[in-house]
Amino acid sequence: MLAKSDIAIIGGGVIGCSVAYYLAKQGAKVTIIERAAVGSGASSVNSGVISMATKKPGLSLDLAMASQRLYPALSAELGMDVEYLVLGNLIVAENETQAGFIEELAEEQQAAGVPVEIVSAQRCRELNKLLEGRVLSGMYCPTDAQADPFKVTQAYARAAENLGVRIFSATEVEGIELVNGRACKVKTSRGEVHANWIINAAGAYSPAVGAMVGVKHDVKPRRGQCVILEATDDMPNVRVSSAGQLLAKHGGASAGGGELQVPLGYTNRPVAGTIMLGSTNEFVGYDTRTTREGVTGICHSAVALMPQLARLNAVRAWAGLRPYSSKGPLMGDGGVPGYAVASGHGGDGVALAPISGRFMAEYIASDGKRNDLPAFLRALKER
Amino acid sequence: MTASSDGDYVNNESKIIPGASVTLQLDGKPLPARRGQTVAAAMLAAGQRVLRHTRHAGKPRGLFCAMGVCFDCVMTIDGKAGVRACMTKVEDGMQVSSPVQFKPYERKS
Repeated sequence: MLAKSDIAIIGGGVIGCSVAYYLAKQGAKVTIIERAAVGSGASSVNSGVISMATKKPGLSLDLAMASQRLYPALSAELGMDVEYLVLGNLIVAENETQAGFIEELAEEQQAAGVPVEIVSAQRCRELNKLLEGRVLSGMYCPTDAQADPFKVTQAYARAAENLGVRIFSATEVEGIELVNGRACKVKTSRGEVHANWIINAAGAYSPAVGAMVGVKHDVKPRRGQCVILEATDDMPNVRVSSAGQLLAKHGGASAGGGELQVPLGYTNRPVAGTIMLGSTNEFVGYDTRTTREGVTGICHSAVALMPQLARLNAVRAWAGLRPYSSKGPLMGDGGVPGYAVASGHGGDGVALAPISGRFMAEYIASDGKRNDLPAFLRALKER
Repeated sequence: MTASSDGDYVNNESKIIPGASVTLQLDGKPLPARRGQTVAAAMLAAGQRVLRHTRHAGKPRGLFCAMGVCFDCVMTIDGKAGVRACMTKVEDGMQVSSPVQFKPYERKS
């Protein structure tokens, strides 16, 4: 036997590490089983953007707002600077359809309490001077933020370890054993882990873990390719994305290959000085390669709206698999006693990590009884 | 004897004969080099291991991967910033300088 603990978490990404931290904070004995290394999957290949403006009002926006409220105090709590920065977010409309879409979205978001405003094309250029291409209008959210995804993941992992959480890296999960119908053992490449609760936080790979207990999770890998530009110190901080990016995200993603249209996505990471462009949203299975179509598509759309970016070198391109769920994050009941799930966060794992960890800790502490996410969010707001 | 596209010559005994002498201008001072060398190689040969300094800690940086991947060796070459010294072949009279030091990001809050 490799370990015996109260809770075994499968997946050492930002979600698994956050869940482990909040559980350990309540005094639970926790083991994380990670097949590669902490943060080696989607947690390392994302923008770290914490955005309200990109959410549709409803549970996903409520979750994001509750999570963002936890961010300003996070660095101090975890004992490591996660580089939480409020830089603002501008979504630009390139055509009439997009202009109509952001106007509708802004109204819904204002009603939900997000401080967004519709701004003129002129104001868009004032907010980000690189915007020289044709835009009709924009939706601006001054409170949208970002954090360094590597640091958020490592901060949770280290804080969890300081509270006694054991992390087994390079350890492959091979099966989950049920006894009297309850999940209680994780069989790994290095031995068995016994636990009262097993949590599936395997991100894009969570369906394979679900299959081990005969449960089908509605999660599939969505590939995001990104391009990183060389470091400078004079790039505007306000994040800019095309409303087309949001429409692609909320609507269907492209199948990949062929003519790939990638609407503008510009994110400055001012501490590093680099610019992140992208990403694509593609359903191509578990293929983590970048493609020529993806990389050139990202660069073309960026230079079309921000021609000055053409003077910077692209230094890296990468692709990652986000755990896409059409219903938003799946958290709580896994469909088998003793088995819970925390997956399906799409591109919002970093943004939603604090709230996901808090909810899952409460869910497990109540032995699965406190499983109402909207009620949890309401209670948290009143606390 | 066969000429490589780089300007080096390889004779029948596979002995490399260095390319012609050229002179770079490193921060305005002459630096001897041979045709076919990269800027980074010429600097290394001249004992100049430091190519730039880091943005936050001001620490020296030199050749790391030496194959164009890591972007640690970026310099300003003939007026163009962010050029990889390890991928750029020397030319006579080429102007080379360390990049302008970036300001560290200052947080408002």
